[in-house]
Amino acid sequence: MEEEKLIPRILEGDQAAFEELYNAYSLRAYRTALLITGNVQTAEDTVQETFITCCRTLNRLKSPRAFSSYFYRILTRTAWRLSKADRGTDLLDENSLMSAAAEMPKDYSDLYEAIAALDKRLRTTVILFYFNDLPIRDIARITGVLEGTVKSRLHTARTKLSKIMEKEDHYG
Amino acid sequence: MDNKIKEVLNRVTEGYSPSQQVHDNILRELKGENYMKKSFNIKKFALCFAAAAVLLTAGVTAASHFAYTASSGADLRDRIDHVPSTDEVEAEVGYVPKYPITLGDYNLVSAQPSSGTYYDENDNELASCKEISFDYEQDGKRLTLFTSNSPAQFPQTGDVVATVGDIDIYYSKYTNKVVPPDYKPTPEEEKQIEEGTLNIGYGSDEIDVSDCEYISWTDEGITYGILTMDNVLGEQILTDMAKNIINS
Repeated sequence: MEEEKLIPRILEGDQAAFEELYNAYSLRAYRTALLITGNVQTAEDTVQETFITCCRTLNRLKSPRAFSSYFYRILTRTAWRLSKADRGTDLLDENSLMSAAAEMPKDYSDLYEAIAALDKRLRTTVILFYFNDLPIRDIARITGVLEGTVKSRLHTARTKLSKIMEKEDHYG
Repeated sequence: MDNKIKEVLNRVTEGYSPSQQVHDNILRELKGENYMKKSFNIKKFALCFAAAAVLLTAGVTAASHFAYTASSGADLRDRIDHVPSTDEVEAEVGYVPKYPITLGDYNLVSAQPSSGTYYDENDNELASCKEISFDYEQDGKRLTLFTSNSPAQFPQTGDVVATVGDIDIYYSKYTNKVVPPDYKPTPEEEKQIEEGTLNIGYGSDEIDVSDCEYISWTDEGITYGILTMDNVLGEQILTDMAKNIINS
């Protein structure tokens, strides 16, 4: 992915460059949004809004190399905002990722349920680290906190998830 | 535990992908109202406008070279994607021109503040000011009303096609060619430039040729100009539009 070549072309209104960027980012972005929001429709809205916002504000990007962090920063903020707005929706409806999780083996679905139940900041940190394979430094930029805070959140999340899984093993 | 978290997150999202609708909506939003089309068109319009300003301020001594040049720079982030209130316009550019909601069958849809700089034949800066243009659309066709309150009083050329009170209205029709900065006009183009039938706007990435009309006047210190690009309306329709704005 050569953002350094693509971004200037997109700024010039080159549709082919946009398509290239979309193809490179959309799937991973959608699944990330899906994990953060837990809802298919909200994830689609998140991706849509993220791409539009990104393209409209590309001029503000100091370096094309920073695009990925910039994109995911907008995506996480948008996902948080839209999932807050959709909080009243039924998590067990067909648009909920919980319904897909229910079809996995029980230990997997239990773990997913535990991740989904984490506070949004802990959950997002876990998703960016384990699902997006992003380094601590990038996660800190995306979530707007210090690297130490990211490490601390990961530690807290792991501890919580371990405890929940131990209980599941004990009672399950 | 780490591997299991990773595997769960991957498995639960497996098979999910954004619908084609997402892609189409993004593209429609960026292209239709629009970022991509606009970013090109604004640049093209800006170059046409700069060229039009040159045309309208040139040839005062019947010389073969333009007496003034103009440049116009617009920042897309300043774009107003709705019909602006007079307060918004004043906040953006410090003056309020006349800008009707409709111009003939065309409806006002957006506005673009910009910065204009004018130079004499020796490239000395004559004036620098904030300007604002208004975009009108009808069935996908577009025209733009430019306004400037430049303190420099430029003589206007073109043909005087009407007078309202003491305001003369100038009309011109020409071919506009936007070109890269290093473009060299051909001998034939040099001839057309001298005849006033061709303007060249420098600064585009690609060469693009348009049929343009420009009608302009100055009212209470504000210079107005309606530019059509590849949408020839004719002298009479544009004159009527100009009169309506003056009388509004």
